[in-house]
Amino acid sequence: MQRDNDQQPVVQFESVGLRYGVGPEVLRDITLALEPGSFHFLTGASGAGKSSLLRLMYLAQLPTRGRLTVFGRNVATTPRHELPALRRRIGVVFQDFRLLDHLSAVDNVALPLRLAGADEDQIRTHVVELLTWVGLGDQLHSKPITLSGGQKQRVAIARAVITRPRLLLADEPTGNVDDQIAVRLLYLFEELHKMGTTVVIATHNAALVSRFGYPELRLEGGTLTRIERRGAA
Amino acid sequence: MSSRRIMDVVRLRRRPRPRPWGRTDLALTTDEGRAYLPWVIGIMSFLAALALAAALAVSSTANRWTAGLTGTWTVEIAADATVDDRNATDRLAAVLDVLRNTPGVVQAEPVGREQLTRMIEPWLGPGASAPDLPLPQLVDVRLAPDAHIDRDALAQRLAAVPGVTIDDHHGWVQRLVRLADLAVLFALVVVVLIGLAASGTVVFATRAGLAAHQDAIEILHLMGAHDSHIARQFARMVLRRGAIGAVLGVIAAIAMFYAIAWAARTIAPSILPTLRLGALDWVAIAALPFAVSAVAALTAWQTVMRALRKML
Repeated sequence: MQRDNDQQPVVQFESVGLRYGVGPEVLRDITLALEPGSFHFLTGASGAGKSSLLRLMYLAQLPTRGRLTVFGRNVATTPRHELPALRRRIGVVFQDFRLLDHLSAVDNVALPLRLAGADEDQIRTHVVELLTWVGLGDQLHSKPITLSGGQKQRVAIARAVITRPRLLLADEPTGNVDDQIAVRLLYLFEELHKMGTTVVIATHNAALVSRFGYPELRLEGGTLTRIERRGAA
Repeated sequence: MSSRRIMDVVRLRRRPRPRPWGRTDLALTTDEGRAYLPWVIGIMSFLAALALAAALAVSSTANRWTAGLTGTWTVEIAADATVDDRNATDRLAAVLDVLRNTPGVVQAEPVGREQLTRMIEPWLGPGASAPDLPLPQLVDVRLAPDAHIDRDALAQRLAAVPGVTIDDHHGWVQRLVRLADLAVLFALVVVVLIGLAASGTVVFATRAGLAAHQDAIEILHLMGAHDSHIARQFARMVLRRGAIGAVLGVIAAIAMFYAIAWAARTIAPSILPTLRLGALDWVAIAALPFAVSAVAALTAWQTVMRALRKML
């Protein structure tokens, strides 16, 4: 497999368009390069296409036109059997959490590590520590169905960051937690970013966007505008 | 604990380790289909094992009969009501004289009337022992293993005695071998058809499982699971449940086979042959659960792999 260059964009959109079936284009002429180690907020009204843009980034969807490159690989021409290796470098926090209901919190968070073939003893240790840090030390063996929305969200975030991904994509990661937890989680994302992870957070929370002061990618009518900000929390 | 410490903690030393039959990430054990799969596989295995056992037993019996008839001829002197006992004895003596002086004949012994009566009693009932029942005289001829006797020449020499025929069993043995071959072929066709039906059941059960776990499969996919990781979990579930059904089905078939063999021995021991299986036959039947389980697991694997190829 081709090795990605540290300097090349982690994700690059070139005139990308996306439509579902024969419907109208939900994303139009998206041109964007996410540099390694960058941090962006993705904003826009409901239905603006934020989740669709993220789906393209985490390789759940192919663009209907244009060129999408992830870790230097054109996703349209990358052989299918090479996609899992790319996906393992991406952490995703889904808006609806998408936890596996039959697995405990520990096993949900451990899943990416197990898929990567990590050692079972280390998995146990690190997953327990991370879940304790996000405030779920007493819910390690709880099934998602018994957790509140905020608790599920923290499990989903822990699952996304446990492998320390090169690219972290979060769709409304603070939507179900109180402000204090939201800020704490953003600090976690910020720490990942400082260690080199490229972060994109889709959010409606204007206060958080202002507080952390990272560039904003605003989606309106299927087109993307980049807004630079200054200052941080 | 600082955030940086957390990042240190999550920085794991990777040690890729294949886990071919490890834990399951999908809740396949709660699928509705899991309950009936062992039953379907079990019934299919029962039928397949029974068909196979029956065919192998027929083949084995035919082989025993063939071996018993090889190297033996039967000379028959037809019953003739006009011939008195003295003449009948003379005719038998003449036939024995010719046979015993034929090179290659090891033994020529007449079959006694009592033995003849026992042979036909299952068909004629007690009336077979009636003294006035006309019965042919039979001579059991044993040949040397390397004997090459000209059957026509011998028949010419025996022609001096009226009503003599020679049966070298050739036609009977050929028909028997053909019957045994047909039985085995028929059993193989039945086993293949049952295998196809079982595979079809596994395909549908697996597709139902794929549909039920679509969301979880997509999550695993997006986290970087290879298709084989997901397919392995389905194959393992089908292997386990299929093996349980196949073993029980084959055990039931063996029990049924013995019940039929016992019934044949008890009800009509003279007419029905003894059903018996050889060591290799048992190996073939014992291998059936393994073959069925393997085919079922392979089918599940292929079904999942084919379905996942449609995903990005």
